[in-house]
Amino acid sequence: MKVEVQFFARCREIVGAKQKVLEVEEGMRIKDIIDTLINEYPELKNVKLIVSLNHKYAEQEEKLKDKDEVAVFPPVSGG
Amino acid sequence: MITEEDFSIDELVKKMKKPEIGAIVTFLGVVRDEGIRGMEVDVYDEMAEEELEKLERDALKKFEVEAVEIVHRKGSLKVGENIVAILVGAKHRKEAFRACEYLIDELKERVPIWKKELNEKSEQTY
Repeated sequence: MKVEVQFFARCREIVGAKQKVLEVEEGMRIKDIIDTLINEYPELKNVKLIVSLNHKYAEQEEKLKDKDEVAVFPPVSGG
Repeated sequence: MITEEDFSIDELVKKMKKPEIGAIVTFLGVVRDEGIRGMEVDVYDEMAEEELEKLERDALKKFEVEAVEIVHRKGSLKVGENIVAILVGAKHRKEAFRACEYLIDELKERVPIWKKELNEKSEQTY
C-alpha cells in the first residue's frame, strides 16, 4: 500500500521535502508512520507533531488504507 | 476562503449587507512591525478550506447570526499588509461580536495555517 505524506512549516524544513510517498503495510496506523518518520528524521522529536488523515485531524490509532493522504505539521499559527 | 490576493474590507462589507442585517462586526489581522520585515504564510490548502467552511457552519449554528465570511491570505506579506478578515452579520451587535471573537479564536487553533516571521537578517522563525 502507498500513502502520501505532506509536510508543512518546521516539519517541511526538517524533512527537506513538501511530500513523500511511503510504502505502508496492511494494518499500519498513524503512530507507526510517525515512528518511521522520527527514525529517519530524529529532529522531528523536537516538534509537537500534529497529524491529519484525508484532511481531518487524526488519532494515533487510526488505521491507514491505500492512497490515504496524511499530513504532518507543528501547531497551527494562522490568524 | 484562502487567497494570495489582497482583499478590500469595504467590498466584503458591501457584499454582506442585507436588509435583515443590523450589525456587521469585522476583524482585520494585519502584519505588525515587531522587528520583522514581513512574514511567509504557509497553508495546507485543501484542509484549510474545509476547516474554514466547518468553522463558518459552526458559528451560524452556535450564534444568532445571519452571515459569516472569512478570508485568509497566504504567501509573502510585508509589514502593514492584510492577513485575515473575519466578518459577521447579525440582527444585533452582541451576537455579532461574540461570533467574531469565537471565529478568530477557533481559527488560530484549528485551521492549518502557519506564519513564518522574516526578520532583517532574513533569519526565519515559526
